[in-house]
Amino acid sequence: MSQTRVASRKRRGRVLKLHPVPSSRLITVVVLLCSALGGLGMRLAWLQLVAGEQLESRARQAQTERRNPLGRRRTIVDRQGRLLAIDEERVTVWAHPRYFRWPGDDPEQRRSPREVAEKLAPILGVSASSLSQRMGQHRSGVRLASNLEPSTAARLKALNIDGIDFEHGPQRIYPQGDLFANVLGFLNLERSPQAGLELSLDDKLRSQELKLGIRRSGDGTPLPDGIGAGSMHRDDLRLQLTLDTRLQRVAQLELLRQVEKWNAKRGAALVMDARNGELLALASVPTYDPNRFWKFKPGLFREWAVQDLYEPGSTFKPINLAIALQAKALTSTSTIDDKGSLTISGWPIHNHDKKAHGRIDLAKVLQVSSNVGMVQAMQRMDSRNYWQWLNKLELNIAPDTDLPGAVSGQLKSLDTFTANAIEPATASFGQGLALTPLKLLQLHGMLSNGGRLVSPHITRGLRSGTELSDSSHLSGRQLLDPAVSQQVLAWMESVVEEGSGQVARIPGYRIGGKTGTAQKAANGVYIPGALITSFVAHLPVEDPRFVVLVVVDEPQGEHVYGSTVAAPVARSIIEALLVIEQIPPSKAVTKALKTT
Amino acid sequence: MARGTQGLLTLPINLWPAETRLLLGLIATWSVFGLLVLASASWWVSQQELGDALYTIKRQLIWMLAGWALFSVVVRTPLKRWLQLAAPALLIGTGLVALTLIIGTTVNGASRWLVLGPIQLQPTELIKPFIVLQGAVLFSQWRRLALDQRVLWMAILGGIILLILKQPNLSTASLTGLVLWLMALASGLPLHWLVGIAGLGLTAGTTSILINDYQRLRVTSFLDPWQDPLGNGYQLVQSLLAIGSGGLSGSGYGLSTQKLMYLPIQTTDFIFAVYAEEFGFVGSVVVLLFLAVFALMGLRVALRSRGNQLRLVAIGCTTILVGQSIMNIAVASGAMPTTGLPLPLVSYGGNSLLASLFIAGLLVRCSLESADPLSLSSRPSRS
Repeated sequence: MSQTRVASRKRRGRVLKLHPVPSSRLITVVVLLCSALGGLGMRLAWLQLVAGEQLESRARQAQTERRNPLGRRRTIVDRQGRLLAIDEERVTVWAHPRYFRWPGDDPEQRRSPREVAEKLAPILGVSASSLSQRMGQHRSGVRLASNLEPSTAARLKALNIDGIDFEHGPQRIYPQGDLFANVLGFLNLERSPQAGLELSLDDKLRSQELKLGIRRSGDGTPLPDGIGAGSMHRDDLRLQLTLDTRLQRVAQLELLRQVEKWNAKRGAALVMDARNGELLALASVPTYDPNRFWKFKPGLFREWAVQDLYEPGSTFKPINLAIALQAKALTSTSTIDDKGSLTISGWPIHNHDKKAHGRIDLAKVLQVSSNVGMVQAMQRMDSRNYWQWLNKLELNIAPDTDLPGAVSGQLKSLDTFTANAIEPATASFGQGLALTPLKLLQLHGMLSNGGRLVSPHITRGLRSGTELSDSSHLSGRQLLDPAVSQQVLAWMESVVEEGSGQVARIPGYRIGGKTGTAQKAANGVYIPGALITSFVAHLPVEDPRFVVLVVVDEPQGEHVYGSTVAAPVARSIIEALLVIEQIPPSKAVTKALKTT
Repeated sequence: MARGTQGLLTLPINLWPAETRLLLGLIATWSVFGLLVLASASWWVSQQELGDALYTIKRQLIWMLAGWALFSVVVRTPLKRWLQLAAPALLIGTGLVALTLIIGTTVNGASRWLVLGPIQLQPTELIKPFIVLQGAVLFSQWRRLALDQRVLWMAILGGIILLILKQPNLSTASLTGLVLWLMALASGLPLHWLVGIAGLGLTAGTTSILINDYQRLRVTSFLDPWQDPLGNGYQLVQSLLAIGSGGLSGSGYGLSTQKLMYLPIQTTDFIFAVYAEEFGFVGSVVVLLFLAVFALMGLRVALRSRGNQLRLVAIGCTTILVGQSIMNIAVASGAMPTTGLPLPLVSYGGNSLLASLFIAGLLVRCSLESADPLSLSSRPSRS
């Protein structure tokens, strides 16, 4: 290099015109270029190494479309797989008048809301003027229609109008309307559960939806990158209930008819499989339509058969007898002298018809529903022992059940119960203690299943696809000897055959039953004229399995008894139950039937 | 001279000097590299917009073949002839640039194209080799030129740059100015002259930026692209996201996400961003090192060339190829305001490809002529 410089100087000295390009300048140029490259290298090192992570996460954020879970919920089916609650796709249509344009229009051209309304109106089935009125002067974000069927939305989409948006989402539908509202509850407009199983089993009913982030290209094409195996997986589990829609419908219809006929406040009908505690029906009147929940009073959104207490009255007598038998205070042959009335610690106690029945056996006590007889029977038991038995029946504990909101019953404290003879006396005919219809059903289940206290329940579990769950096995704590429960059932059968429960008699079948007509109390005082009638039935007596309990609250008028108000409902339910469960008759019915 | 040409023409490649063969190898590598990068950058957009993923790369391949044909013609033609052609070709080119202002096809607000049947001509690209050649002619004998000659040629070159600015095409104008300035620097012109010219150029550039709204927007958005990432800063932001996403080792060939319609003009101005996303910092460094090696090879050719014109052609060719690459990468990485310059031999575009291979051919020719003893008799500097 230095040589060239020397040479150039020499040449410059000799021939002025010759000016060779100096090597140093050439090198300078390349050094400039290389330093620019070096600068770029530093810039790229900054971008890719230092700021790289931040830039990449920014890019991923822009490229990834986060799909928020739609909040799909599982289908609920009955014991036969019939749909009780499903999610259906529904579409909401939004209008943005500032973008209104036909396909093929000039990009700058805009159509008036009036023109658009006229195109949409026939498909939506509303008048064009109401549509354009709704859009009014709004520029954007007008909800034109909601809850559209996807097929209707597809017809709107086919119009290809710019400025019309479609929002798809699931909507909870209850195909059986009000039939299961008391059990299922409902979702509000924000799809948040408000009552029933929807609320109590919310986390189980919510579908497992993964938060999915799909990478997309700039034009929206989804990219396969980062979508691992299983990320598109959606389980198809359904919640299966133990309820039977057919039986539920019969129960609901009959109950409603009777409640209306007697102008009653409310009613409930429950059917339980006593072997395992599965409820086949849990009907309630009045009820509401969960598809239009907003039209009903919030007071209806609870199931009173599970959440409200009442004094069971005579339907509790068989339970008492079972306790006394088990405690050996009574035997199957014990007799009572029923004088029609007696006085305990100054309180008079009468039979409901004020009749004296004389010396009668325990079957007769049940048949005539003798209060005096019951008091005398239970007096053979030490009151402390009696209380301990009631305690053992978990009267004051909320039953172990999956029914939402189940409450515990009320039992006086041991001290109160034993201090005053009136307490065990009233308890012996089912007053002075309070429980829910569900609890009473559980206690009667004990008589049906040979002495076990089962958990009444309505869910069987989650199953995939159309598979159905098996019913659960025998369960529950053994409290009574089977001989005891059989003896009480035999007495209850006589109530239907010869006593107050004859309404429930069905030729060919052995059915046990007991009526109940109890006074209602509020704040410790009985309300005059306010009665709660009930009927409980067991069938078939030779192989007891089902317990039916019907409770009608505050029926009005003359002849208000369990036998007149509640028993007819029970009978209709039993008839349906016999058919649905295909229970064969226990004995020959009539000659006429035989020959056919 | 005729014999010399003859001799070179018949000289088989394996008898070429090692330096020339190495240079040829670099250019060939660059070309293949360019095709591979373009194939990755273009297929998605071609598929989505034209229904044929290979649409772009097929056309580029044809242009590449044409370019290499031109390259071999350039290599086989004595530099002296090109130097003689430079002035008239430059004048014709200037005329064509002027013509684009009148009947040019306007793309994105700039009239850069002349449509000749199926072929679109971009005169600003095609005059690039002749600017280098004419620059060499002028600066090699600058001190021997009369004042009027100097003024005339300064006016002509300045006029060309102004015409290109008028299109408006700030990027090519500044590249042209920069290359001419660097050639003048290389030729040994007094530094105070060069500083004066540079000041003039900067003033012109600043004025242009102040006058033209679109250029001013680009400059302001370049300074802080995140201020308006969906508007004026969009292109640069997308490019930075692409380059940044590359990280150290990149996402892998073909796996850029930003090229999928996020990054605009991803087959030309921002093709480096696609490459940087796919090959990461390692890939970026490889490209920068390659350019440095190429620049050093160009320097070596220039230093070994006997004769001012040869030296200036060699350094000019090196400068325009490497300089244009630097500007393109600088734009993509946000080191320079967004201007539309193709990455030589990589970006999609026939005109750019032809011009780049023409220039590369000139460089190889310089290397040949400086090494081959037969060509010594036809040293351009003596003519």
